[in-house]
Amino acid sequence: MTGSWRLVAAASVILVFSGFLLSNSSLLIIALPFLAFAFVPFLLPLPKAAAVASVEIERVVMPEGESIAVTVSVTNNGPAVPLAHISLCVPEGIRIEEETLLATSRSAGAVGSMSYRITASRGKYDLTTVRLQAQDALGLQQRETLLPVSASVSVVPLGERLENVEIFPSRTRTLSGNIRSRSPGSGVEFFGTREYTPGDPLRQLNWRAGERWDHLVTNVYIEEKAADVGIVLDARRATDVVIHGDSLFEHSVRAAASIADCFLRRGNRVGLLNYGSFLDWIFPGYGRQQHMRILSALCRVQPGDHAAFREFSYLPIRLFPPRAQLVFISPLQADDVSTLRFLRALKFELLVVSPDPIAFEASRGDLDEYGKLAKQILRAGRTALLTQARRSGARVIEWDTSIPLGVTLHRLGGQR
Amino acid sequence: MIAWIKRAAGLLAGLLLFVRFSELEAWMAAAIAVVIALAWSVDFIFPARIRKSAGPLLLVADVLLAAWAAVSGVFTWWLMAAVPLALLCWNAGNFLARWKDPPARARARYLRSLAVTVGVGSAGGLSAALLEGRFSIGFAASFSLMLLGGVALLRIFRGYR
Repeated sequence: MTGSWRLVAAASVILVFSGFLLSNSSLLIIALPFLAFAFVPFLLPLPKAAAVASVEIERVVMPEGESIAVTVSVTNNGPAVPLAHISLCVPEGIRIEEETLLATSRSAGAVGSMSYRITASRGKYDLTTVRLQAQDALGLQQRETLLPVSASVSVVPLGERLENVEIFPSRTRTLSGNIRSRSPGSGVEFFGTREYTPGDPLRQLNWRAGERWDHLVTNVYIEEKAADVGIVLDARRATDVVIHGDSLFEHSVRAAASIADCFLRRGNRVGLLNYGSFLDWIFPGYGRQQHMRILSALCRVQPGDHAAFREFSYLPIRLFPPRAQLVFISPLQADDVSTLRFLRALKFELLVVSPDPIAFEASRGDLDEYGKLAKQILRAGRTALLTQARRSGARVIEWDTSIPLGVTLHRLGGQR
Repeated sequence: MIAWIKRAAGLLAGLLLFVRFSELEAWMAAAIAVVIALAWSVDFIFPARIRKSAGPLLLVADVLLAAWAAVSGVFTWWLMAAVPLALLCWNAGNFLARWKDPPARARARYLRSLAVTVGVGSAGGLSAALLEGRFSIGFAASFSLMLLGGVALLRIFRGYR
């Protein structure tokens, strides 16, 4: 029964009792229309809907900020229902932008459809329930049925399209690519000269050097190869900053997506390690499938805590190919520098993209006098930390998240 | 159409009460009846949130005024008509709040259900008043009225068909 029924029932009971108490038949007569309304649900109970629901999703993977169409269809296999309202139960994180009634019918076997446009923040969402609210025509009785459905949508992080991220790995793969290897070969950038040996292409002869040294000299070029890149995303809760619902970690995730996309487009082998409450490792691979694997991992990653992963010192380095290029996306903590030093000692090349937590926090609120002082102290500490990291041999790029990553990489020489 | 039926019923319910209180020279109650009539008929100027909460309050106020008028003077047929009209207006408002733009079939179905239910209540009330001897409209008319009430009740049993 609905609130409307309760209202008419209460009015009729009060009028009937008042009529008897005051011995006034007029009140009893006035009560009769209310009694007619109040007795309708007993005379004509709402039939139980035997319905089956299905959900169709326009795309199962969508980038953040875009919207997709979801169509919910409900087939009534039971008796006719006077009025039925179909609604999709959406998990937290999904927003319904638009709701359209496509079709509805009361007869048995009929199909009612609703169309929605939804947007969502990053994550994987399961759509499991459709709510069917059946009402009688007068709105006096209502029955709610939850119908199971099975559908899921993954909202992947929307990264920037970076043209190139400059890296200098100490070891490259045998396949040709775009990364300058440390060995001579058939590239385009000049590496050095050597004495001519029969079979060298004549157009590579360095005539000026040959004239000076009185024998034939050949130019050699830097060989461009594909590289192994391991991206380490810092998902430790201790390094995250959340202000007014905006999280620094989300920026890190987008940066990881952008960098992975950039390296994969240029033919490198890329792996991903989410380092947080557990280790989520995506084995290195090439191409679009690997890109989707990485986006899928980034879609589900959440900041977390675990005693074993409080510091980077437990980083499982055996997962990465020897002397590979490692890209850390982390705001960094004081204890992390020793790990960077250790990795450099093992001949890994390190690039640290460090989202700036101080600028992130300061940009989201007016700072009073004490706030400004605290910011200065924190800034001094962070500068010292980044200097230590640079001294360990890592290339550190401090990233103010209010500026696009591509612009920051370009300014700081990380991008060609 | 439902909106117009609702407005007309609300206006009529308030005006019938106004006429009754004017006869009784209870001017404060008459003024309240006029306010209720206006509130029912021009409620579209208010936001939906206020309309939703005001509907039950207006119904209660209407019924209280009707009950007061009934116990404080001579019972008249137009006073009896005020209550079903107020009920009709309130329920139509609820329907429009639930379904903003109903298809023609749904509108027709709803109006049939509403008319039958209000008809049963009104016929029952009028029959009771006739049985008590408050009015006299002749045996044939009284019998026809009771018959119509019975038919309406049967239609409820048959799912308003």
